[in-house]
Order: sequence, then C-alpha cells, then structure tokens
Amino acid sequence: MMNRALAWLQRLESALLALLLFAMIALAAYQVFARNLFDTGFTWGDGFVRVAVLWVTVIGAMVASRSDDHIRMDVLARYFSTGTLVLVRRATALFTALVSFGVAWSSIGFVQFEREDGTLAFGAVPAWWCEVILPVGFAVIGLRYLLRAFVLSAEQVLDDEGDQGGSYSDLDGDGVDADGDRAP
Amino acid sequence: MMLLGTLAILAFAFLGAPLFAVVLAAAMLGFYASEIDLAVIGIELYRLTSTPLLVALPLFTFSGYLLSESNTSKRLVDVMQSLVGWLPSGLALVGFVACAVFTALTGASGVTIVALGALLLPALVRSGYSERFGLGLVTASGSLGLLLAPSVPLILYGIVAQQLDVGEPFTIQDLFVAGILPALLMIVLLTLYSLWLHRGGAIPRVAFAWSNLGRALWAARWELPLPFFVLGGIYGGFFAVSEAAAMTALYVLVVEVFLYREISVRRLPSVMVDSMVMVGGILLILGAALAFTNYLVDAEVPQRLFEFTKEHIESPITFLILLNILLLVLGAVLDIFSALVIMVPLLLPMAVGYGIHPVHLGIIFLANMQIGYFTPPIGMNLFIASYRFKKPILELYAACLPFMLVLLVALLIITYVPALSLGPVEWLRGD
Repeated sequence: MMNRALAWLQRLESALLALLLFAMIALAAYQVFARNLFDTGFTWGDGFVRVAVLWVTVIGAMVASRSDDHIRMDVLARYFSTGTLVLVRRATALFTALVSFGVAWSSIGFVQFEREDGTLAFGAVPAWWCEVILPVGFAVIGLRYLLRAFVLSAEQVLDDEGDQGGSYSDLDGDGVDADGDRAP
Repeated sequence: MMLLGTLAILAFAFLGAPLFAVVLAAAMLGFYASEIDLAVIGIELYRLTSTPLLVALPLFTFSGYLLSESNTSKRLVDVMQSLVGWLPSGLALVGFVACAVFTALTGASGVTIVALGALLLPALVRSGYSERFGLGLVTASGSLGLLLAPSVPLILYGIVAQQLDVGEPFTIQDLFVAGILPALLMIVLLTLYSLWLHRGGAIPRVAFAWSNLGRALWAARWELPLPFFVLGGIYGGFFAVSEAAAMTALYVLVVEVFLYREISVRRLPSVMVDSMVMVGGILLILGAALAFTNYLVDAEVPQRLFEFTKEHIESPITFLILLNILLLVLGAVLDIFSALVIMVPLLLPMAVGYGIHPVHLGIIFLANMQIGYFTPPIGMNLFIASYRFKKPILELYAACLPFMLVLLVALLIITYVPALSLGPVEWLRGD
C-alpha cells in the first residue's frame, strides 16, 4: 500500500516536472514570436512562467530528497567510519525533516491568509492555488527525510552516498555511477 | 538560546545536512529571535516568483543537459581542431577554447571533464604532449568558461546581486560583457604557458586542411548558429535574457532530438526530470537564502560586518587580497551555487563600501570559484578527473599545480585591473 502510494507519487512528480518544463519552453518561446511578429502575447504568460519556476523548484527538490541528492557541504564525510557515517546521516536527516515540517507548517498560515484575502496570481487564478505547493512540497520532503532518519536500513542510507547533485555522477557512461548505483 | 541554536545549525552544516535546510533553519531562528511571525518564511520563499529573470536558469540548464547528452562535445572539438589545431601548441589551445565554450553552455558541473576530457586527453598524448600536462589541462579547464555567457552561475550572481540593490545598478548583459576579456586573458595566459613549456618545437605541428575544416563545420552545421543566436539575440537586444533562454532551449531541443536524433523522444522526459532536479536543488537554496538575507538586512548584519572590517582594513587593495583568499577556500569547500547565494549578500555590501563595482565583484567572485574547482585538497574537479581517468589524486594535484599558478596570475590581474571587466561595459554604454 505504502509502496504503491510512493510509486504513484514518484510518477506524478516526474510527469509534473516534464510538463511544467515543456510548458515553460513553449509559452516563453511563443511570447517571443508573438511579441516580435504580431506585437501581442498572453498577458498572463509571464505570471504563469514565474509560478511554474516555483513549482519546478519545489517538485525538483522533492525528487532530490528521494535519494538525499541535495547540495551540501561534505568536508567531513570522508573521515568517518561507516558506522559513524550512518548515524551522522540519520541525524542530519532528522534535522532536515524537522526544518521541512517547520516550513510546511509556517506556509500553511501564509496560504490560508491569501485564500481568505482572495488575492489573484495571474489571469483569474487565485494566488493560493500557486502557493499550495509550498506546504505540500515541504511536507513530502519532511516525510522522505523522516523515513531516512528512522525507517531506511543502514545499507539504503549509505547507498545514496556520493551521488549528490546526481546527474553527472555516472562518470564513465556505463549507466553505473561512481558508487555503483545503477541509474533508474 | 540564540548562540546555542547558531552552534547547532553550524554543526549540522558541517556534518553534511542539506544546505537548504541549514539556511532555512538559520532564517527561522533569526526571525524567531526578532519576534517576527514564522509565516514570513512562506512569503519569503514565494518571492522566487517575483523575479522574471529566474526562468533563465531552468531553461539554460535544460539546454546544457541536452548538449551534454548528445555528441556536441565531439563536434565542438573537431571544429576547433580543424580551425586552430595547426598553430604551435594548437591542440592545447583547442582544449582551452573548447572547454570554455562547453562550460559556458553546460555549467561547470564536471560534465566538461567527463565529455571533453575523454576526447582531449588521448589526443593530447598522441600528439606528443606529456600525460601530466594533458591531465592538468583537462582538469583545470573543466571550469574555464564560467565567465562567459550564458553560464548559469553568472546569471545567478546577477539575480542575487540585483535583489540586494546596493551599489551601481547593472544588467545581466553588463555581466556577460564584463566576463569576456577576463576569460580571454585566462585562455591567452594558459596558451602562453603551453608555448613556453613546449618551446623549441617539442610538439610536431599538423598542417591546416580545408577539407578537415569543411567536414567538421558540416557535421556541426546545426549547432554552429547556437552561439551567434544566443549571444547575438542578447547583445543585439532582440531578446531579453529569459527569452534567449527559451529560444535556446527550443532550438537545442529541436536540433538534438529531431535533426541529429541523438536523444530519443522516449529518453527526453528523463533528461527533463534530471535537469529540473538539479535546478530545484539550486533554486531552493536561493529561496532559502533570500529569506535569510532579508533577516540579515533587518538585523543590519552586512552593515556591522562592513564597519568591523573597515576598522581593521583600510585599503581596498588589502580587502581584495583577503577576499581572494577567502573565496579560494570557499570555492574548494562549497559548491558554486551555494557559495553564490549565501556569500554574495554578505560580501557585496562590503565590497561596495570599499568602492568595488558590483559587476567587477561578480567577475572576481566567479574567477575565484573557477580556480576553487581544482584547488587541492578537495576541489570537486580533482575527484571527478581522478575517477574518470583512473589516476591517483596526488598525481592530479601535481598535474594541476602549474595551471593553477597561471590562473592565479590571471586572477590577480582581473582583481587589480577593474578596467578589464568594466571597460567594455562602459564602452558599450557609450560613456
């Protein structure tokens, strides 16, 4: 049940990321043509693109927290023994989870306020629809780090080592990255 | 309480907690101590939507991912080789220029070393360069080109600095113009070093052939318009930076997926997702840093920091020396994006206080970061090269050292001759 929900969430995140990026490219490019050739364009286009950037940011960050791919300062990790490293990773995961829940909680207040206020973001779209990604996103990030702190096995915690920043860690192009993880 | 909280957050930062959480925790602690409602965190993060320019970052990053997933690197090296390979030290020059162009387009994420190094290193050794020289070249050049448009760190510096609204106002285009001569200076000095090292005809020269040039240009025919199109569009005033980013993304998408067909339509979504995860990580830290900066400004931290340094450091020259040392260390410890969004809000007000132009500071900052990428012991590119070329890390330290010294000379010139960065900007503005 839990695994099915997680798989469903992962597909949704990926689909949203690709869709939003595609919409950003298409809309921004259309605006250039429309403005230069016909002197027109969607008045809501700019507002949509800006909100899309926020959504891409939060959803991208949600995906990065699946395997703890966030940017961090990693000066001490190479000096720890394996056992200590697992403990350190669990502790920092708990810290991250608490901070994320704090942000999620505080942005619920913000979204609620804007909803009562009836602010519009662009066109006829209420601002709180755009902002709702903040509490949702940070709650998901918090949950993923909570899992990392308490539920994931030591192997799983260490498995995500070294592929920080993710994408270019497959250095020799054989589909296996520096620490032996196979690309999904 | 405040002290204890600060110490705990710093401890988590050094233990390797994600930086977005570290910076958000710091902001929350700060707001809490100033008795400001924590709902402000949500408002601050939502400020990411108030910068129209920001969309340039995901779009240029996506273009960079597409270019690095296709055979652009090979075509780029072929074109450069047939163009300047016949000169003395020609292949070294090919390496410097190709790496600079590729890094400007893809960001200095290590992909330059992986994609171009694999082509250049064997070619250099075959042409008579020593392996040590080749290793140093590909590792040190992995971050060359950060100062050239449309590099993502350069745009990010512009966005962060403009948010702060201190010093003379400037545009992203000004930054793009300011980076040109410093980047050329680095390439020229590196080439002179290679010429000096291989003086007396140690490396056999290859003849220039029109047929090679023709073949290379034909192979790269779809990608050749790209630089002119991006740069011409921006410098010529046809598009704003964010529009140029959209046109670039669209153009690269069509070229790599439908004309070269090196990325299948089926693989496209995964490239899109990968690039957006990278962007999400960077922009989340930016959003957190915006919140934290706002707290710092409220608490007058940059101002107090400036007053403190002003008491101990009188001359801008001393300030610049210390700044360079600080940034070199930072460049080796922090990744470039976090360093930008966390340090620029602290450093820019100080630098402006010493009379340094924000555009000049940006160029100094990135030039330092560029060297930090391969500064021993922990510059990221050293590890990437060590892994990619299966060489011990100590060998890479030794190989990179001469290149580092050359680039430090360039850095000193860039730092102490502001006209190198600012001259062309003023000239283009007509004053």
